[in-house]
Amino acid sequence: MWRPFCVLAVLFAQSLHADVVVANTLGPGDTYSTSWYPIGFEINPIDGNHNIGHAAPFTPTATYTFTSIILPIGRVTPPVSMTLTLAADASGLPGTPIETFTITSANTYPAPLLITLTSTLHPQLNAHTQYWLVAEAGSPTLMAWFVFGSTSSPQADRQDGGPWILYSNTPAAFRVMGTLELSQSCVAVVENAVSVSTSDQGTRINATFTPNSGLTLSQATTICAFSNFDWEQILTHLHDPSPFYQPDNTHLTAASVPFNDPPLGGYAYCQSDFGTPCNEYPFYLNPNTLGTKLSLSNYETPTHLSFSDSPADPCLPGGNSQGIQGCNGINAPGGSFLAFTTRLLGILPDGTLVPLPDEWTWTSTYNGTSGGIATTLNFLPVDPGSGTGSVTITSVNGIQLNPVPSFQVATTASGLAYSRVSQTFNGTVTIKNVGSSGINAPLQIVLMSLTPGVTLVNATGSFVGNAFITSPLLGTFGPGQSSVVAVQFRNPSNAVINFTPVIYSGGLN
Amino acid sequence: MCPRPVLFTVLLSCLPWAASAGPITYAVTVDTSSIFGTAGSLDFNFNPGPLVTQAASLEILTFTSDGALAGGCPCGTGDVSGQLPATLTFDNGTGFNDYFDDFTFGTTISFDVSLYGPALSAPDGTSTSGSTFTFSLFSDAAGTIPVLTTDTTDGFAFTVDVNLEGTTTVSNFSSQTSVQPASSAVPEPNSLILMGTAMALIVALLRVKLL
Repeated sequence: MWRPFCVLAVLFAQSLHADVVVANTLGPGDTYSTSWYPIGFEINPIDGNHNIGHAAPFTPTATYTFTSIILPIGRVTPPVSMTLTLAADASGLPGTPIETFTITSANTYPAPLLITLTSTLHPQLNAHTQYWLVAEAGSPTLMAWFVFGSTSSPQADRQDGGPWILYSNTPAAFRVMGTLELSQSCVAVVENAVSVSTSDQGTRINATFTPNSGLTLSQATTICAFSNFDWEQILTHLHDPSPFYQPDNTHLTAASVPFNDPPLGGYAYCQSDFGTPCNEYPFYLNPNTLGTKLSLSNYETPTHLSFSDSPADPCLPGGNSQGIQGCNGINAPGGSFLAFTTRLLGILPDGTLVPLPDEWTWTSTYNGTSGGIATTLNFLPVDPGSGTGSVTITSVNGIQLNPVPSFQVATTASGLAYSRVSQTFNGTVTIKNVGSSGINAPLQIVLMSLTPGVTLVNATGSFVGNAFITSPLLGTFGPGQSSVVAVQFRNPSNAVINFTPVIYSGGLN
Repeated sequence: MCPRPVLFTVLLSCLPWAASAGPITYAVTVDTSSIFGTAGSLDFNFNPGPLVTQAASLEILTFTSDGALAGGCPCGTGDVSGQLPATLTFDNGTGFNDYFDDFTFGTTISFDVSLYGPALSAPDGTSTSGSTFTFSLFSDAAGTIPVLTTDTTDGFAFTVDVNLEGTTTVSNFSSQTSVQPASSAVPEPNSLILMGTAMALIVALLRVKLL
């Protein structure tokens, strides 16, 4: 699946694009306490004056490419001149330097500053391997490295460049960032492993993650060192007026995007529709519950993880917005739509989210209801006859697509004649430009939600797990013009052959 | 089906047939003298399309031949009832509606194909798929070697498409096969108007004569 994007997948095979937290000892909201470790020349009337170095360890749970460090530093005695070194471990103590940063600017104690140090060498941080952050300064500088928390953890100090001494104390505060390096075996399991389709007359979007090589989900999580796979969905475009509210009555509007779907705190409608607030943020499905409507386990089989959504928004143009909170009879301007980005996630044992390369964007113009309400994060079908519009996939892995609106092209098909010679069901699909303007060829007919077990024998290729066939038409597909494409299906179980046609202009490769 | 991506333009005939309030019937005759005595097989199927298909039915009527049906049925799969030479009734309710029987060819086969149902009598204007009937002859009992057809890829002797507007289209790939519209037993609305007009004219003339 996703064969057309193999080139992109090769790029992703080396590292993922998103910065993730490798290790963190800062408090919530990047907070830290007022206690600190001295770095540099300390005047001590009891032990005498010494130059103090301090080191704090961390151990990545996966392999990352190091990108940056954030830490709270304050100046006690000028000038500001301090080094922070990412170092390897040597028998449980700071060892060989890997990359060294020089700090020349900091607030004066007691007003520390969160300093970001950006890597230029981008060394690899190996999973389950201990590293050290080593802070030192020369005389007469004295700097303060602030701490967070009350529990003790291993720390190391040394005086005047002498041997490191390991002890246990409050951890120095820092956050190490990196891009995740998936193992080649993990990449082989997850790349091009998500199929995406639309169904229910185009009002529902579905996706299925099926680990490659016939592996189970459990085997895939083991190989990738994840605790789970999940989905992340972000609402990237919302119109005004909008029908979406949070439980505290916060109105989600055009100005609110982008936000996770569901947002932190959930949606107001989840109270009634789901029985509980849908506050599984930042996941689409909740990995921490069992047996609820949104429990991740409900959407897992031994070999698949599924996703679906059918947004229903009567505030969209043409919808019956009377009595809908948020719009109350006033519809959004013509051309309004909802837009989403959905991607497969890996979740590390420490809860870190790992965005995987299987990502797509899509829009919805469906202006009806589902279960009588306006909703996204919706597993129910839309209410029949309550609206019009559909969902459309607009990009895959960053590659923009050109869907042809359903009002501009009509798709019909002949019956399917069974040939005992070819053992296939044969017919034609006809597309007709019913709009008033031309459409640029080539045109691709994507067969979404094709009956399971049925294959399109003469497919041009596969698009996010769906067979597609290219119309032979060249140039411009003019108003009133039709194009007939022969289709040939293999259908071993003689099932009713069905699919949802979606037309794209341009190439899918 | 029509059009089909084949090159047999000499034999290929795509004949759209007008909508009718009643069944659309074709009289079919196949000259099988060139394969006389061959132990082969016959296949009929009538299937819906892959999008939204309106209900339609089909009958094979008055099957006559000097060849011999094997009769080792059941021969039907899906929504098919009856057994040749008696009437076969198909509908398009399942994905594969097929009648296949062994047959030792004589010199001729003839039968009528009658198509009817909502898709023909009252097209709903919202369906997006038609239905298709096919007839094939084979020189083997397994149905793998087509005969009396130029369509060696799929083996069809002829097909009839039920179109979305209630018309039908015949595609004939066999020079030995004749597929001709049969007369309709039910007068069409236009015919009724013509008949009514004629009757009114006759009555008017009679009145003139009586005066």
